Amino acid sequence: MNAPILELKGLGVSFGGIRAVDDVSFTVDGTGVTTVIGPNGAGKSTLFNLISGTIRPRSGRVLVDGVERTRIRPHRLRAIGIGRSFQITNLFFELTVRENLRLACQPLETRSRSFLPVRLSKQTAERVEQLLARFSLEENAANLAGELSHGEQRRLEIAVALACGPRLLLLDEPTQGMSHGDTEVATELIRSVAADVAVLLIEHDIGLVMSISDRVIVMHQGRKLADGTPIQVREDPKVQAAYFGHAKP
Amino acid sequence: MRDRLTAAMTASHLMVAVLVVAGIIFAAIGAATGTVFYLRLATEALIFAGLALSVDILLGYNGLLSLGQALYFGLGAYVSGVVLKLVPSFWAAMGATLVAALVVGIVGGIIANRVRGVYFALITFGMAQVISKVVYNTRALGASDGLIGIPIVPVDLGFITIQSNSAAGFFLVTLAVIVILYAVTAYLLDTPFGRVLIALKANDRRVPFLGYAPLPHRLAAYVLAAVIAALSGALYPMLRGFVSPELLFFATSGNAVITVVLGGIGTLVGALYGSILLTVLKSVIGTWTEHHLIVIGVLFMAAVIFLPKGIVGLVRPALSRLVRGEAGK
Repeated sequence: MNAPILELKGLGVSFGGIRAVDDVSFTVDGTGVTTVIGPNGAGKSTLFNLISGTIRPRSGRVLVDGVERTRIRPHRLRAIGIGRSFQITNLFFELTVRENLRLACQPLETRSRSFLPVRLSKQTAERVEQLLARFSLEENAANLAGELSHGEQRRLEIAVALACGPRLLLLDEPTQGMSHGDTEVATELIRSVAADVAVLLIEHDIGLVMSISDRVIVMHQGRKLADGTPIQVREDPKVQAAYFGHAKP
Repeated sequence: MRDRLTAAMTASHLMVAVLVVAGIIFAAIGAATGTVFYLRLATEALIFAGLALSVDILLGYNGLLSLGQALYFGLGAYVSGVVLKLVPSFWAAMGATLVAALVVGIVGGIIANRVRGVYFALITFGMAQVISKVVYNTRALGASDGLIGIPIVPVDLGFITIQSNSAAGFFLVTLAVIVILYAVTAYLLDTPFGRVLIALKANDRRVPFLGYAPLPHRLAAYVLAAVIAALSGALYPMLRGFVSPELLFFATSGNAVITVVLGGIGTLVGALYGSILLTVLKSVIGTWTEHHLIVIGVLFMAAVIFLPKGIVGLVRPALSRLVRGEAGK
């Protein structure tokens, strides 16, 4: 019964003969931050797209709670407890901040309300306000998402992914393009989120990776190169070779 | 505090209210002085405003340019015309049009919503062209002459019956129908369903990850637009007593797009003001020169460059702030 939230078994896909992701297997369970790192083109984003059904794998399987979800359609992810953010800020700029969150919480409401005026159940409305407070966005709640600063938009992006109470959160470079101060705030937020849900993260900033992660998975040329605690991974000679180009016999 | 979208929508409602008051005054003056020509012209402007409204649902709320909305407008006009020749009943014509628009809208929507962007524009254009050629060559529908000899229709409203040949009366009937169509559209677009549409327009990659399937929402919006266009078209034969196949032509679809751009994309009320402006311009410039389309074309380009939110964009933001300010107190 206690199958892990996410289990990848031999996942692989090729684009025009190049193996973007090649035989990758690992599991994610419980809470805490698992970070996927690797040089550009290592297949990190492709891996996310495979998990979330944007790309169909050529081989391998994706299991969620032990149930086969390999070819899931993206709009079903929510219902099985997976939220996702994007590398490029992917918000609804023409909607207000509150509306962005409300829209993300809306699937919690019953379907039959979709043609009634915009009203939220007290519970959902409270959840929206909680998220606004937690991500320090209250002051901007009635402004358009397009008017926020870049750091605020990235924060909103995480809040939107978290809105529907997922058990697994996929975050694709959440601190990309943030100022140093904003990055610190975001790191704190991600740590606090990871107390309750499993977070699978893609990140470039090695300093951040070492401070934020409970576990690090290193990808290189589509394959999983190493998997362990930040310290274990840092000291792995294979990882050092891939990152720093040391010659290896 | 009210959110911006609801405030903007309230501002649109106020502008429609102004239009209704102006319309009633206009009808009273028209009836008193017996100026049939201008009342008929205004009625026609309102009918084409309904078509423009349907274009704005797709363009303003779905981000989809339809170049074939005349298909549904013409469908409404022909269905209404055929029904009226059999039974001269306003309600039978509107009912039959509604059913026909739902059926054709669902079929057309399934075809057109397979694609996005330029391809959507091309497919809607193509579908409208095919149907217009078929109708143009169908003897039973009057072929190139169109449907002629549509009788005068009594519009039975329960407490009063208005004849469709009464210029002021039918103008008010048309005004009522268009305002109802506007109200239904505005209501639906201000529900959670409407917000999903705006989200789809803004970012259709993200929406599925929030747990919404895009296609049912797009299809519903498309069918809504089809119904609005068809019900507006259904009024046309009552006004003119005939249906011309030209109603199905590209010029009709193109005019509706120009109307929305002039009036203000995504404002709904812009379709109404845009249509009135365009009709007035055509008629006024038409009395000076037969090349009025040149002027319309230049105006269209000027609107695209200088007024990206159309003529409504000049007024609505201020009105919207006012509405929000009041709510904030």
